[in-house]
Amino acid sequence: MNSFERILATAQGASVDRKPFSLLLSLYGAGIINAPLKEYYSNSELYYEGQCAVYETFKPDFIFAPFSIPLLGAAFGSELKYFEDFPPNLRKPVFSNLDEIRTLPPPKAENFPKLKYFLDIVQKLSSKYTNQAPVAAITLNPVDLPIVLFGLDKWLEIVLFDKTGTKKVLDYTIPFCLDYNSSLLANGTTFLVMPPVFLNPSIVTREIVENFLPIINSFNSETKGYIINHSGGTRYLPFIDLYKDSPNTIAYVVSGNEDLKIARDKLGPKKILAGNIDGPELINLSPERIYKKTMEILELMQDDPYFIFATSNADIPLKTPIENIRMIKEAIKEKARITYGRS
Amino acid sequence: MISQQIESLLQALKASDRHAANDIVDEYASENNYEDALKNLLEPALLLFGEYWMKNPDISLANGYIAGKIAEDVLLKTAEEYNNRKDEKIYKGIAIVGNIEDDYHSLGRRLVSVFLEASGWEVHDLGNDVLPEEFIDCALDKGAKVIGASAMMFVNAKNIKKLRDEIDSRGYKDKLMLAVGGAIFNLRPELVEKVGGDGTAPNAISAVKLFKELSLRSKL
Repeated sequence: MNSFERILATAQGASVDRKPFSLLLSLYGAGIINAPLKEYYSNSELYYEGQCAVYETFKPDFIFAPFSIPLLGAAFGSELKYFEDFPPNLRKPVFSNLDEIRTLPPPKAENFPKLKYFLDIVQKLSSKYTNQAPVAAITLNPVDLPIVLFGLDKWLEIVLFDKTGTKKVLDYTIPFCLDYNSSLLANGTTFLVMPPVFLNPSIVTREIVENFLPIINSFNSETKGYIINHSGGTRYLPFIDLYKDSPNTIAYVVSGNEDLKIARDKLGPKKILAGNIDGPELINLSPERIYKKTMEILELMQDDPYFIFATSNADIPLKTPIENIRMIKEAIKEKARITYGRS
Repeated sequence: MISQQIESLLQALKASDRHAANDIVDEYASENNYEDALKNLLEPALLLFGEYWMKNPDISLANGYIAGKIAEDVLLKTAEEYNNRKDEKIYKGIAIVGNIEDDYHSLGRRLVSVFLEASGWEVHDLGNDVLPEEFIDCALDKGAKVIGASAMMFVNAKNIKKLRDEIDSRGYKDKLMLAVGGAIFNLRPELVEKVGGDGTAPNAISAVKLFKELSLRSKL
């Protein structure tokens, strides 16, 4: 089985040769090809090279386009701050007040030249790995995107106290996000990965999510592709039931410290559930510990045909020893040997 | 009677019902005044809300933000009273707050400012992306004993160590006290010591207690 076949089988609850696994190595590719991060996150060819190197090194079952929300903010005109070992961060939000949203061009992806970086990468990766491995691209839903435009506190204030302002923002972000997602899909994206960076239990109440749910569901319904709901590193379980029936959403990635069995109970038996080793923590664990923890997770979920082993939270750190990451693959292979008598 | 009103206000805070909370405070103030409402009603209710917040992980930032708005509402009404009798204003100390260099996640810092002010502190909020020397210069200029530095992410939290080093190199260790806070310190408490913080608080309301403790520990 190749990765594509393995993921497809998992989505149908069919048997697989081994459990699929996902490693968030969006950043790590820069380390393998020794690329400075400023260039890596602005030159699509370099990023593509990095991800090819990731695939050749670890053969994970997913290939990731840049897992960076700040880069989306940069596409809207915000300045980025670059770091030696971490993905870039936004210096400040794009806008300081609501009315500035009027200055944006019409909500089409083609009006934001920097988005071409993402689209080019997706196109290159999907061309190279057609029918071999799925390409996953991070994007945001229209209620989460404004956190990039206005910053968390301003967007929260608008949502809490300004219904007209909220509508004004969504009137822009809904068509923009639909168009951008269409562009990602048209360029070959297999899965749209949407982390609820705003609509999560650490930031908003359940009632706020419930109020936005019809908008999210309508948006997901109009998105003509498969969606992966990804915790992104925040607490996620308290709201996972709200998202479980969202149209076109086929997989859910929980946070590193959240309970997979509880997540399964809340999701029901036939949704893809993914997790649950903390990616950023891999740098702090020994290879033996990583192997043991991976085996524990695989044993816990061995009878779940809709389970994908995945690193949760943000990127695996750049300086994580390569042996630490290889241990995950070793554990996956060993578990397959024990379970199915093959590697 | 007051304990019943505190309980009612606590319930309004838990329900994020800004309108009901203001009604409870207004009713109390109509029989007393806003300064008393702040001291006898809001402060104890916020303290209880803070304890509830610490014990209950389901409380979101939105709940805290609305609690902050309620505190701000009462504070503004109290300020109006103060305008007529400024000489009577009593404060608990002077605090400098800001987001550390490269950090732009201002919500937590702003909540801390609101709750500190609501509790009688004079707060100088330096905003986002504040350099170590800016924190210290302002603290010395204003006569503050406590600096509060906020960071949301690990990559920025490391910059707080520069502030620690600057405080120490200027000879203000144990004099200018350093409170650190932000989401990353709740996730990784060991970072408090690593960046040289003198203490932290898990949320904005608890920061009031922390600032008071640090102020008492200061040898300035």
